[in-house]
Order: sequence, then C-alpha cells, then structure tokens
Amino acid sequence: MSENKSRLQTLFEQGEFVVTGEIGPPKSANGEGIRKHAEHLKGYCDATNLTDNQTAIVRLSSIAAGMHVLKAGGEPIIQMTCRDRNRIAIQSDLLGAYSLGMKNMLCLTGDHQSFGNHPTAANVFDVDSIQLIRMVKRMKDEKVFACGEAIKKDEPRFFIGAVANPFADPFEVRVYRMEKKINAGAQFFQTQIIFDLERFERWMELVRERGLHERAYIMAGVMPVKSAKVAAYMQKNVSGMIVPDEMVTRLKNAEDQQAEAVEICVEQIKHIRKIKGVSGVHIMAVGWEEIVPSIAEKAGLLPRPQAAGIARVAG
Amino acid sequence: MQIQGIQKLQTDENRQASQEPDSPSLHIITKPVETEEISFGETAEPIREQRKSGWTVTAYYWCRVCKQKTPVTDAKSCDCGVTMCNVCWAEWDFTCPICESDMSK
Ligand SMILES: [Zn+2]
Ligand SMILES: [Zn+2]
Repeated sequence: MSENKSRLQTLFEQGEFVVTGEIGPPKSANGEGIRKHAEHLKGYCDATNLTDNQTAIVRLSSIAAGMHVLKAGGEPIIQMTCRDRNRIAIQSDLLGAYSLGMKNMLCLTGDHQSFGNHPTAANVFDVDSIQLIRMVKRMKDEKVFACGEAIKKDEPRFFIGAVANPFADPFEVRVYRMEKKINAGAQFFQTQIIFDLERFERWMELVRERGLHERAYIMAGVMPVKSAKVAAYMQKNVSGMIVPDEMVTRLKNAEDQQAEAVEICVEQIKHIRKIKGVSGVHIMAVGWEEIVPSIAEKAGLLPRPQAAGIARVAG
Repeated sequence: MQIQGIQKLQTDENRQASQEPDSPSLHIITKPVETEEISFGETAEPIREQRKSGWTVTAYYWCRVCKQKTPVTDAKSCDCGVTMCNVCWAEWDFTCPICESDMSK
C-alpha cells in the first residue's frame, strides 16, 4: 500500500507546532455528542484522541468514536489499550480501523479494571504496550502479523503514538522507558498532564541528552483546571501527577477562577512551546471541552496550519 | 545506597535501551483456563454455573478517594470517570470534582 500519511504526521514533518485534543466517548450508544465535540474542535486542534474505555469504564468504542470524528470532518487518534483485547482482537481492530480511514493510533497499557465499573472483569494483557507498538510497526514495515504470517496486501500503516509520564518515579528511568518505546516503533509521544514545568524541563533535558527528541515527536500534555476545587481534588487523589500548591492557591485567590484557569493553561503552553524538543501540545480539557478554542486562540496557536496535500481541516 | 541503586538501574537500562527493546518477543504459551459453563433453560435465560471465585457480576466499586470496596448501591461513577462512595461524594456536595456534573440523582 502506498504511503498515505495522516494529517498529524504531515504537520509534524512540516515542522509545525501541533495541537491535539481529546474526546472521551459516552457511556451510551449515541455518537451525537462525539460529533458535536469534533465539530467544536475543528480548526483549533489538528487531530483528536478517542479514549479506549478510559478509567476502565465501559464506553462507546474508540474506533466507533473515531468514525464519528471522521464523519464530522476531523482526524482521529485511536487509543488502544492492552487490557481488553488479545493479539488477535487487537490486530483485527487495527485492520478494521485502518480500513475505515483512521491513520493515527496511540498504544497504552490501560488503567487496571479494578478501578472501573467492572472490577471483577478478567483482564487480558496478552501483550504489553511496548509489544503492542512493535506489533503495529511490524504490520506496517515488515507486512506481517504478530505470528509471522505475511499480510499479502493492504497492510495497516498507522502513525504510531505512545505515552510518556515524566512525573512517575523513579524519575531518571522514565526516559529509558521512552527510548524502549521508540526502539519498538513509537513515532510520537503524548505526555501525562504537566503542571510542574520545572520538572518537565529537567525531564526534557534528559530526553535531549539521549537525542530522543530527534527520533520521535513529543507533545506535552496540558489541562485547563476549571477551579481550585478541581485542582485540590487532583492534587490529593490523582496519582502520577504533580499539582503544585502555587497553582491551587492562585485559583483559590482568583476573582474569576475560570478566567484564571485559562490564563494558567495559556502561560503553560507558551512556556512549553519554548522548550527545545517539544513538537506540540495535547490539550486534555476533561469535562470542559468547550474551552479549547479560547485557549488555542489566547496561546497564539491559531490559525492552524494546512497540511501539504491534505485539503480537509481536521479537528 | 539508594543513589547507587539508581545509578546501577540507569546503567542497566542504558545498556538495554541502546540495544533492542527488552520486552520478550511474542511467542505461544500454554495457560490453564478456568471455564464457565453456560446452558440455556426453557426460558432462554442463561443459567450460570458458579465459578470457584464467585459470580462475575459486579456488585461493588472501589472508591477512588477512601479506597474502600463499596457496594454499587452506595457508590456512583461520573461519566468523566470519577468513582466514589456516597460518603466521599457527600464531601464534594455530590458535584463531580473534575467535570462539575450533578451527581445527586
Ligand atoms: Zn469513599
Ligand atoms: Zn465528572
């Protein structure tokens, strides 16, 4: 199959500072909300992540959600976890998703099912996230299934993404894990939500020391935190994330907390943009998707660039 | 001691990362599987044989805040993913601390 690159990949290769958004599919069989969100993000984000039963809660599937995004004129990034499918199901879904026109995928381990709404469900983890990345790469480059059998024609040619967490401990080891993912075939990364910019900068130094920013595109994860209440909850209850006290206080003291939240997020994006080796931002506006256009505008991310050879404006 | 540990880990990881990724290649393994027999009665209602480990129907959630195993009737899960027991929800006035959805109903 000829090279048919995604808009996301094309923009990275053009050297643009890329912006992606995220949609969490609903706990229902109705795709209208996804299409609305996708419409809303069009022109503000270059592509949109569709989460795969995030937080281990049953939702409309990420691939079906990707179809709704395509119908709305956007570009999906399909998330795929290792929790719910074995290698047969994963490869089958990859073939299906690519046949429907989805060209980006993000490989993740997935939240453990005990935290979701089916805590006694069996998990799969037939492959881990690094094996998943390698499997997708081999399907593309070597044109083989995981068993070694040749894919005779029309192999899926995904632009392969992975996640990185600069905030999990031990700090120094996170970069090696990232390198393993690159060796396995990851082409772009989206990081955990960043609030502690100082720590992120230190992590990026380690990334640059190993030249990883030249081997994969790195997108920094950001989140507009709507209120001091949200910040306090995240600080106390969300693991793998550092919410500085300073941010909580700043929101608490603000007259208009939502305006302050936008201001903080915009400042973060402007700061991140100056860090060498960062190729874009991934805006995760959980439960506050309508604010993304305003953030993109204030952070100077508009107008979104056109991808050479791809006419459609994505979202 | 700890620093030495990390340095060693770094060196080991360094070596691994510069070579091939260290996750093993995929291969076929044999694994004992626990089966659940399902037969159908006249009413076409599935009759499930109980596993040793108990029914597979979810009857509880884990509260993300107090980390307690809570019956589903005493817990709620917001669309955004926040799952808490009702005692913890009360501390947030039954408004989701992430997306501000009304969780009082
Ligand atoms: Zn609780
Ligand atoms: Zn919520």
